[in-house]
Amino acid sequence: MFSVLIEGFGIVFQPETFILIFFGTVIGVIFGSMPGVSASMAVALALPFVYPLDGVVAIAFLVSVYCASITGGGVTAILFKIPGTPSNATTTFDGYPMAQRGEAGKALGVSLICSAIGGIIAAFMMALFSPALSAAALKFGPGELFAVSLLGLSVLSCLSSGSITKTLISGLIGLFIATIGFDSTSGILRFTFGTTSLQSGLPMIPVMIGLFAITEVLKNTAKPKKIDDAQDSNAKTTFPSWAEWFRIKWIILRSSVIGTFVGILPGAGATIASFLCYTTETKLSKHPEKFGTGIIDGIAASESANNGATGGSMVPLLSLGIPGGNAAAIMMSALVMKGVQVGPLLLKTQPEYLSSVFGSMMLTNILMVIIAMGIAKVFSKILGVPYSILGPIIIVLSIVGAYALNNSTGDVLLMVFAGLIGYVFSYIGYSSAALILGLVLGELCETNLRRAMSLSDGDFVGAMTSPITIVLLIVSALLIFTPIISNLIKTRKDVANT
Amino acid sequence: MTLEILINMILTVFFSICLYLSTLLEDPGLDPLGAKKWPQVILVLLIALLISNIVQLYKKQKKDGESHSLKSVDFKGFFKSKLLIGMVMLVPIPFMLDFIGFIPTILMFLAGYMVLLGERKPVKIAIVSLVTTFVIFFIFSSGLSIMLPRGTGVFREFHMFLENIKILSNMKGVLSICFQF
Repeated sequence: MFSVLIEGFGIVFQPETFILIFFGTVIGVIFGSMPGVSASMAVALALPFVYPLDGVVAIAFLVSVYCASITGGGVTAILFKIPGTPSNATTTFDGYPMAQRGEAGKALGVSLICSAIGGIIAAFMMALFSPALSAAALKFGPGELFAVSLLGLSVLSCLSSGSITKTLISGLIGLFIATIGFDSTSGILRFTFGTTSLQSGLPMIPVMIGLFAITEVLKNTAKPKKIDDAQDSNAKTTFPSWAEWFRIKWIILRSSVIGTFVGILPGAGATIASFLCYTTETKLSKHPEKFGTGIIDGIAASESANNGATGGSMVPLLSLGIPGGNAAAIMMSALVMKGVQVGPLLLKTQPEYLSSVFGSMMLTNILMVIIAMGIAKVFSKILGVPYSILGPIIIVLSIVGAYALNNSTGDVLLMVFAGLIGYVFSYIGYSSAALILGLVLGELCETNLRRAMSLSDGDFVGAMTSPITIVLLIVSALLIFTPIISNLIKTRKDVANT
Repeated sequence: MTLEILINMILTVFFSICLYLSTLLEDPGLDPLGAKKWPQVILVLLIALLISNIVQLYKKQKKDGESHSLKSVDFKGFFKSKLLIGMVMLVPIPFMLDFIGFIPTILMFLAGYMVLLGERKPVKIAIVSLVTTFVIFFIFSSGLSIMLPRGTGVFREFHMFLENIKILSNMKGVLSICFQF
């Protein structure tokens, strides 16, 4: 462990590498805060810079871009309700209400510090347990992954802002939308209504931008509300008191650890990690009703988890040669391009790669706080701008964000419709967040259920017999049904009293 | 609440059609669950919950003594609202992007939406529209090499002329060379 630490710092504190990591952190935060530029896209955009670099330095640079972009995405999620990357969607739930109350600076402070802590914990876990964690993750077959996604879906029962029925409907609509397009197992088309544009399914980013950003601007168009200008035009990044940090210490730790582990799982990643941790913290909280109203607990869970997942996704890449997510796949291609033989022997033959990634993650997560504070300061100045200017700019950023995904105006159209539907949804009390959760987890849930059923020759019970799956399913069932049953009991008591 | 019930009814009908369509899907039988079952389970649950929601809303409306008539819905107010204008302004954007390209579309949209949200100073509107459009254009088009919609004809030529002013990508090239040393 200490040798990894010393070697890692030895690599990243060489002047050339340090400057590169600093530069990587700056562009990572900037790319991450741009809607439509996902973390994997940020890493891809940084690829041309690594052509002349040595493999060890190249991976350190790309890791810095990756970690910083996840953090940068939290800035616009808090200030404008536009998640910079999909994994920042849960940051909007509490970050944006805080910004509206004039507490943008505090929300940003929590987001940055929790991101850094999450990233650093993930880096330590990666350096300490890389081979062991990979071995544990390999035990997760389709049945276990189905149970994990079901656990993520259990958040539906507590995302409700009034009616559980409405929240469940929203989540189910999200799950249904995830089935649109080519079925990945059989290759047949589902619910495309004869249009070619729906064949590859509904992309998540335009839907997410539409539901969050466009809906919000439409709400403000219908009923303009004032943001506390006096505080926000001055919105310096401020940090919560020690008492508040002390209160959320377990949230940060739990979310970082869960986030790291989810990051290791193939097909999961930062987005699922943030939703899962947000769920967990809502369930464990003494005041679950406060989640979504603008509390630092929600931001801490979301940002610690998605940064934890960045470290997690590097574990299978370094110890097994399997990329844990899209960004890791791009980094792997960069290593292959450099002639590095990625695979189980990498850590034994070239341990400097683990040291380099570890050192870069440590340094980036520290640098990132300072850099993101500066960038957030510039962004938060924008909050002082009147909404008659800010609203249209948010829409334009959303348009570019949706378009940049596939260079397609079809995605812009989808985003616009998602925004309009999001407005109707909010008008009738449905939950956009629940819909997004269904959309994010839908494919993972279905694909793994079908794989598990195939492996057990169609026997559902047989597919769910592993101890990990049973435990996860029991926890999911408890999380889903406890609030519903307690709600029913409460309603009956109220009826009896009246 | 009548409008809410109506929207729930529309959703119920739509998802019922989807459920019917799911029965028509051809399943090659590659896996035990097939392509139909998962969406069918979702749709059945969805329709059941939508019906339950409609019943709940209807009961609540009756209890509150509200009218079930569609006349109780303020359609007139909606048709005169800024919200409808905002929605109408959004829908043509994707088509305009294809036809006249990024710069004219965004310039017009920004100016129009600012007026809609109550901005009345023409100089301010012009400056904000121009600066925002060109800053975003140069960041994404030149800096990140993301080709924004060019439009057709003269709009396309104008767009391509601006794309050739590669301020940020030249900077990126300089930085890349610096790192080689």
